[in-house]
Amino acid sequence: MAQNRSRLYRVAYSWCHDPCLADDLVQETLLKSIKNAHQLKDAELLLSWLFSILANCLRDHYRRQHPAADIEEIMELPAHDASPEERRAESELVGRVRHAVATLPMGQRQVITLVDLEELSYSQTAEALGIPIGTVMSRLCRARQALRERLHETAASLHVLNPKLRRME
Amino acid sequence: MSEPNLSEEHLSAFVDNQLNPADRNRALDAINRDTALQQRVGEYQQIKNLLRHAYQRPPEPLRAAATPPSRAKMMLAATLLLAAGLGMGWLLHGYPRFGATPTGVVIQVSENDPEKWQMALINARSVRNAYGKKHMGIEIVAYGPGLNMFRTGSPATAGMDQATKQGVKLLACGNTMAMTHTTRQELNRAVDVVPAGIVEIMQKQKEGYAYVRP
Repeated sequence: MAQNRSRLYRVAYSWCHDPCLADDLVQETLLKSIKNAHQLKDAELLLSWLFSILANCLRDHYRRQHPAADIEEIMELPAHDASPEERRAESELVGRVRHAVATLPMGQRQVITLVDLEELSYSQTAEALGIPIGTVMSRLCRARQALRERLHETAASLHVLNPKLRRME
Repeated sequence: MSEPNLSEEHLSAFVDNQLNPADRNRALDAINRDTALQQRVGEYQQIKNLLRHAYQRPPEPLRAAATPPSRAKMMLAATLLLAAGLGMGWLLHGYPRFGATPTGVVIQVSENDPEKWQMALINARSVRNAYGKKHMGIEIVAYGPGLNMFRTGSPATAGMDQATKQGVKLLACGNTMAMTHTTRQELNRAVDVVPAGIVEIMQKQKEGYAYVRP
């Protein structure tokens, strides 16, 4: 459970970039997962099931914050605001990447973090977020194109992290 | 679009290894013919690596001591107690059961991060101190970006000789070496090579080793 908790927390943080909110979302997710354990028929699906609960908890959070708003619209809204923590760290590599992710619309942010951070397949991502695979693919493309533009200079410094893994097979 | 035969979606799916074999071969053909596509694939892989690096260690919430735990947290604690009482173990599925001693521990190093490497060594030492090397196999398997930790002259070199003297096996992934054109000579001499890091980890788990990823 500790490992699931840290994976959930990492994803929750990459979605909201607010440590306290991420922690609350993860606690809620674990609580709901225990309550609804009977719904999980196949242990293989545990991870995408947990992420789907996390995504629902985030929706619930938005609903509480914006009772009158359309959640789907919120998920597609461009995000302009970075957290104070993000701004402080902006000069560093990690901060620049997190800031670029934080400026993606939530729908794109959720897809790219599940695929790139958690290595979920497209079908697992679709399942977790309750969206069609075609939407996963189109959001992923838009997210990557946006990050490509925003991280153009940052990516050049990648050789510091990973000098030898740039070749494809 | 420089390559009409390969959509952006297919390019992304290629990077994520989500294409079926036929589409993957078609994508490879298109990419091999087009340097712009090659560059794009490289960029998407770099973005993937940057993202993983950026969220390796998300900050933990700093709550003031006076701040009460959230309602969800208190309910979680209560529910966990209840769940433990009812013997509901599904969430712990796959974790070592109390009372059953694993036959060994296999530690995964897949990130190019000296701190994670140090943690792997500390884990190995703790296990050895607790169980003794006669009773417990201890392996550290590096693959992907983690292979850099095994290179001669990497910041991780310091503890390696001592670790192997204490019975810890250091194993490099042969697949990663082939993909990155790394020769045996470029790695620390304390390191052995296995054909595939991930297969080694799975095999050891099958043999009853506990799996740890620091």
